[in-house]
Amino acid sequence: MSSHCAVVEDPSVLERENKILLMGCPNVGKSVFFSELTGVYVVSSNYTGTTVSFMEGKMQLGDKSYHLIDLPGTYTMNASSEAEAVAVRFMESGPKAVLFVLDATNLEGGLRLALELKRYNVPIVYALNMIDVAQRKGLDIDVSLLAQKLGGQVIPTVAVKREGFDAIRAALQRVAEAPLAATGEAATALACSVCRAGCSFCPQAGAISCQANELYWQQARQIAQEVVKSTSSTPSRLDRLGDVMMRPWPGIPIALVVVLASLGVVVGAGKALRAVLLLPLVNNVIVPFVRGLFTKFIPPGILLNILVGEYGFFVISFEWILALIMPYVLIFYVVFTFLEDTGYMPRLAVLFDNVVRKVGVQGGSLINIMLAFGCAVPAIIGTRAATTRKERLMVTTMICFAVPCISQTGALLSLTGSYSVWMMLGTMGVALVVFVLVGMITSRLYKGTIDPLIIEVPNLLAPDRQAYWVKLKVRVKDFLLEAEGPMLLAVAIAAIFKESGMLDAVASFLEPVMVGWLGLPREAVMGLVLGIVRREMAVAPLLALNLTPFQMFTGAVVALLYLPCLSVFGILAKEFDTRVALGITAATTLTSLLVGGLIHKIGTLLLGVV
Amino acid sequence: MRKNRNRSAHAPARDLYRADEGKQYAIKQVPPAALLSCLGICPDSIVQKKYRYRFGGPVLLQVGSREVAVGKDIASHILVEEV
Repeated sequence: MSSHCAVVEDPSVLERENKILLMGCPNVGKSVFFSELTGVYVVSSNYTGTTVSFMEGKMQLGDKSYHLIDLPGTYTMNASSEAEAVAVRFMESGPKAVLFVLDATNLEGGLRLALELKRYNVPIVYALNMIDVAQRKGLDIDVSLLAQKLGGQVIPTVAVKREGFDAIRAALQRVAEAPLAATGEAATALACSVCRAGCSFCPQAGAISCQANELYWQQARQIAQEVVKSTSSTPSRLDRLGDVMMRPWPGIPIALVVVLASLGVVVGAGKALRAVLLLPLVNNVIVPFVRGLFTKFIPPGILLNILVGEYGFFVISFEWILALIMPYVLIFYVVFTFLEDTGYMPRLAVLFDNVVRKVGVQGGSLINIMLAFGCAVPAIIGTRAATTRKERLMVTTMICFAVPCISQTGALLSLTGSYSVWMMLGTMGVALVVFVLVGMITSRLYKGTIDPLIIEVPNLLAPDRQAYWVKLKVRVKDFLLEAEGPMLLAVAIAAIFKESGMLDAVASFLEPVMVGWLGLPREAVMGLVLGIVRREMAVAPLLALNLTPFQMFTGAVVALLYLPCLSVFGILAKEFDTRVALGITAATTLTSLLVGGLIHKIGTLLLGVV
Repeated sequence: MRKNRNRSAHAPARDLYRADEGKQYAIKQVPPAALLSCLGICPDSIVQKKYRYRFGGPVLLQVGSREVAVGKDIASHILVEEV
């Protein structure tokens, strides 16, 4: 798996020499710093919790090489969550220096954590990030006074535009190479200056009391008040828009328009891209070309069929991957990446918290659910940020049941859309009903509680053009790299399965289910076999079966609800345990067959269609 | 979360969920949720209640320079006093 799914969890990283830690509150842009300083690209977004575990990369400062460790954003060092515990362990492991990222638009929270970090006696360089947004908001920050208050160098940066990195490198090099000075005592004195009672917590690391927590806040507020001057009070157009979007009126109608418009763009533009460009390209150019090429050199027979027959490797790999799935994947990432970078998704979480609560989870879970429309793997990893195990398990189950990943969505949209818009909407409707039902059932079934929503709403930002393109490119490249292997594997299985006659054997065995219960042709069993490898491969084989509209609808629903793919199974086993993975696999498979069969039976009874 | 219900507290204190929108409040009492104090919602801090979302939705607060949304079940257990 490549970058956006990769989670580094090697405990030996803790033991490394020459560590430099990258720290800060959630959503201050740490991941952008990491990407720029190490050259390892990490997906960053405008909402909290993109980095749920730590990442490691090499960074060159002068002639020395350092390990830069990107820690998940934390608000405190209380070790009250897994992310904070990781941060505490690293701070105690003897790092050379810390690069601490402050959000210039929101100094208090960052300062609070910065003051807490000073207890650890590690030299810190401060990056005052998003200085451009702060200026836009009319905040004037006295950088030298801030540096004096913090007792370290403060460098203004605009990370997404790569401004300020030379100064960051220079400062880090100086600090990391200098012998450890007695900054610790001064820091402790500073941290304790508001606390005249001679608290026991000051010099020791470890859990701090509630009282200490409030002292840090007082001190952070005091510093923020001294260094930040508001120059103008007229908010920018973007800030006004951000505010309008958060008002119940017209925020909620705007949100509905945004969601429907995004969906419309993905469906419409994807369909156009498929019909105008990719389908003709595959059908008229690529497939005839490879067919011609292989027929010239290989005599007719089983090998030729496996390569370029009806289910031939070089035929369906283009027909399915390039023409069926890619158009939607491409447009989805164009839209999704934009929404993500603007900071609109946490706004949706707030506006629709009341609706989502009825289902049994809380608004914050919506972000992971939206992420799952891309791929369930990062979404399931992202549920680590959930505060209770019940919430993690519920969101994961709901995703596995009824949130199709983008390549499956693409395949479903292509196929159902070629019959009628109503079939497309009907399939989405069934998914929504199942989604809500699974939420309601699991909220009763799973033990534990769901914490109410507590979420920070980030500034609304106009995505930086260059950062946007880089992210989009990485997303699409990752998709191709990650998806291509398993997809080609599935395609190869399909080719061999069909041409070797094994398909017939399995089809005969499963005929009672396929034909008797679901009313589908026996060849549709291919979807159930390939669907184990990848989700969209449960849909793609329906393409060539000349199904009636009603069969297509049944097939689409079965494929949508069918078990999650191999990678998801792997991540379920890793993040939870094998029992959970097996349980979800069994439950989804049974549900898909049950719902598919019911649709077939009800349809046959009521409408008399087959 | 439900322990800290304290209706008999001094007269002007009331819960943040039902407090009027658009006004500034001093926080008097918060339920024990770590994330609240992490986001600056702790006793004596001043917040502005911006909006409340209907049908059991959260309340949106301005805390210093940041906006924080807090779910109904927690907001109704945060006691505040108008300032």
